[in-house]
Amino acid sequence: MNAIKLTELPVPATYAESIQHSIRTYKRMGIDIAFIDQTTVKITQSRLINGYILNNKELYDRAKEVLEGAGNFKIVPVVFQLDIDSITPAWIERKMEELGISRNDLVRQLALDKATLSLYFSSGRGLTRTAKAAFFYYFLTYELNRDFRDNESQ
Amino acid sequence: MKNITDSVWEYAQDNPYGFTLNIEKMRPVKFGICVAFKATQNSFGRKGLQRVIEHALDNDKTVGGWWNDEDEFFYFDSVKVFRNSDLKTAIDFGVANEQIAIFDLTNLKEIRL
Repeated sequence: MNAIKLTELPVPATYAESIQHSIRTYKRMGIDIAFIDQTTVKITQSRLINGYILNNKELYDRAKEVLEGAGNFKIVPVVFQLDIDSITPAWIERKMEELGISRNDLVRQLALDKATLSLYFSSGRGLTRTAKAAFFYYFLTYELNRDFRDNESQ
Repeated sequence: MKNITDSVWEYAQDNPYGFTLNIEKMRPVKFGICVAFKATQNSFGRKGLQRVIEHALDNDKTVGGWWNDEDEFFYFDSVKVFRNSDLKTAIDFGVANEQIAIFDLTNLKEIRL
């Protein structure tokens, strides 16, 4: 379903500019706010820019603040959804290199056996959706740790 | 060696939905409270980026950018990043720069002024 424009809605002009500004700002930060129809707004965390995954209530609250004073809207929050197809053996290897993680680390920390890991890297076979998600959140933990420490040392 | 404008321009093409970049380290800014400088508002395209970079180099060395679907231009601004513990200072800075909102990047939350 296509989103409709803010200008097509009966939103008072005094609020329209600040709502438009907020929608643009949130989009820059990986959060899309779209008017689905005259009474429904969808807020979606489509990208992670700093690893912070917002839950339903947090998304709802942000949309509610954006729309404050503009009328009554039904808010539909859509939490971040992992693009599972983007997790490939090449992606995993890039992340290992970026974060300084060895195959032995993966064996120890993800409770994998060496044969399974070799299979992942040689052919991608056995790399199930669950395994892909485990890799994603495993690396995200490392990234967050690195970024927090970098930030603290500045 | 590529100059800084080329590097940021290239970064913008790779991150059209939006970014906040420390141009000294060429690394994304992920935490803190971002406040745009009034001086670089409405800067777009390569020329605009050049102006923003000059301003950022003299200030907080941070550039924000995004692709505007409506007019199909890249927009850029020079940004000052405050620690979350300095919220009051960030708000005062935003007001002084005539901003209608600032953004808490750490908590992914807009703060209207």
